[in-house]
Amino acid sequence: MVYAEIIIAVFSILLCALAAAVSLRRLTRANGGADAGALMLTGSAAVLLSVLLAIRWARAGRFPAFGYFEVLSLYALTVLVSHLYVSLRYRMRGLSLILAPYATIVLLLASTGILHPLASAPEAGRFWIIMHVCTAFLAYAFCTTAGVLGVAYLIQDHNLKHKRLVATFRMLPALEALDHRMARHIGAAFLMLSLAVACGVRLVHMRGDGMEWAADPKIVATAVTWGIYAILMHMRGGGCRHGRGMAVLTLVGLLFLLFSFLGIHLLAESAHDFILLGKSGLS
Amino acid sequence: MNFSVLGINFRTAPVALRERISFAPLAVPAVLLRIRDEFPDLAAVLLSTCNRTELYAAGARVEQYEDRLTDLLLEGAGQAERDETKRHLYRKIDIGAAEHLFAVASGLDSMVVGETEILGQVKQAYALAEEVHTSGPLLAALFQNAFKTAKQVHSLTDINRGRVSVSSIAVEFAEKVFEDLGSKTVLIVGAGETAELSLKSLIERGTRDVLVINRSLERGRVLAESYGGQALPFELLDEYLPRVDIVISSTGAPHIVIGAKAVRRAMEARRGRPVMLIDIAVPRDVDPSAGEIKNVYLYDIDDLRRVADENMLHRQEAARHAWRIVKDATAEAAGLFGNAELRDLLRKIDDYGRGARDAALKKALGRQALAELPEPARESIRALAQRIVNSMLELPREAIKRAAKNGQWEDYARVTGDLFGFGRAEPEEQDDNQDGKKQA
Repeated sequence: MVYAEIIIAVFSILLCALAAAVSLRRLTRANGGADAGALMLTGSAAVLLSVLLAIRWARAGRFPAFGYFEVLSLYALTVLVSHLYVSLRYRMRGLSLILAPYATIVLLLASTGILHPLASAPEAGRFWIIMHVCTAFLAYAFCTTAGVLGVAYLIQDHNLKHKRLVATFRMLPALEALDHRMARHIGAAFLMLSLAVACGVRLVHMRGDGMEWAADPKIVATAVTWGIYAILMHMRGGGCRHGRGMAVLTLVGLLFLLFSFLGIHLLAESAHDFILLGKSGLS
Repeated sequence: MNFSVLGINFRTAPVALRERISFAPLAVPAVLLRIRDEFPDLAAVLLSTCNRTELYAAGARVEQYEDRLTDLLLEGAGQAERDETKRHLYRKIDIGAAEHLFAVASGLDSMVVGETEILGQVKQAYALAEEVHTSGPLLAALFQNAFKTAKQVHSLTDINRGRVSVSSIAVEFAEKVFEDLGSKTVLIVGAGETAELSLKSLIERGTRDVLVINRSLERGRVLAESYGGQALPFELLDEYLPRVDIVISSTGAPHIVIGAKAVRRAMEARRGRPVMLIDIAVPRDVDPSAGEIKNVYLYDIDDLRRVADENMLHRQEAARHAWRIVKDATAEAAGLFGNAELRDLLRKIDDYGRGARDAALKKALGRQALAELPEPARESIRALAQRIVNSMLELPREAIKRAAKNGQWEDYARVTGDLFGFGRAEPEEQDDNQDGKKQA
């Protein structure tokens, strides 16, 4: 089973890397079909990652979201699926240029933990754990996609401001389209983040840990991230703000999210460390 | 020779001459039917656009029919006009005609290199010929090759990427700012011709909401009404600026008409929704510093022309690659002409080999030393002779086939004929003659 996981993981990384190469090649070639090729490759990578995590689930007997191999693989999977949805549903081409390399790096990082022992998961409140994890990862996916859209917006804005009809000008969608999708993803991310927090609160209540968790670094970082997305929601929804400024703030939001998701565990000990980056794990 | 193109285009003749030999799409079938009635053994496709009229014809006697075809195309014109127009006609045959067809379909022979409209026109011309059953198998094969070549040219090169007119470049920028031009409001400031061209291009992309502001309200009203828009007095410019998404300005005023402050105020009201300012005027109507404001995209005439020139240069570079594709396709299509002659020549080579083998075997196996050999041994000798002939003729056969594919058919066919003596005495007779000479 472990060998199967390794092989599938390797193929997933290769597919994402190939999608990145195909997208980057489009910068130099007049190849309209390359975007479809990149989408097929990322779609195939998503399928393989699903199989990989299903195998893990069967082997571990629990939802595969513990330990940094599982966490990063699940993160990569949700990001790829979100990207495919945006690309196909809204016919937004050119995002593979940014997202495929990102997914490749995430999977490469994940692969360094593939041989680590299986992490254990708390028994209590299994349903709420799954709900919490699912909504959290959906939030991560939407935040990441919004961030990718923000990067695309800034690149296209630069092209238009400087009147550069370069390959990225042609590959990337219109500013307005990027702005609209960014706003939708911010909204979806905020919703999922709120649900994840709500499920987390329920879990804490079930475990009886109470206020101990309130001061946990991970919880604090997540609260700050939630606050940032609430501000983004307000600025866009109520304040009707658009444009370059919103794209920059969306990127800032993504950075905070990545910090609260991963970075915090490198800097502080947390009882919420399901990623197990060397600090104390879940009890 | 069995395929030719006879025509006139924007390079060879001015529009005054081209219009004498021009046919509307509805008139083309009648012309093709006339050709079919008069020349039942001829296949024909007629392509007639604003920049060219070309008759593609295929048949064994197409060269003989050329004068009559020309007269048919110029029917209705006076003698003097015919004579003048005939001087501007061009004619290409076989490989040259095929290459011309492929280049035309690919947009390489167009006024704007790489334009794609011509491919649709060529397809329409072929479809009309098919409808009236004048196309024929050779033209069918050639036109299908032309469509395939055009597709390759457009997908593998940058020849049609990048617009080359100022107004279409403005639209290209607009399409990368706004997702849906149909829901956007355009404001024309000043009623200049170039501004109107840009407006037309936007309207073609779906823009419906048009406002016109002009010093002369009446002139503005005339322009607005022709596009289903609304004319406004000049004094309302600052008031309406926040409400519009695209501004096209060409007033001809000697001073700035839209200042940076007005744009900044408009952007505050728009809360960051992007706005595009196209300033086609010289001197400029829009304060250049307005382009530095966030979410404002300002393009003046120099910006648009620079992009047009870069795109044209890019297309010309891409045209070199496109021509290589056309040349390769022409070489492949060359086989369509040489097929029958190719088969005939290869058969002659095989016959020559067979004749030489039979003559040598007859002589050798007839000699006393070999006459008494058992049959299996004689069979082995016959097989050996066949293998020797095959291996000696294999290289020339392959070279002939390659030459047919590479468009060098005629040269190779002539040399091969000379080398093997096709048309002279058969090998057996030559062998007897050789013996006769020796005896003598």
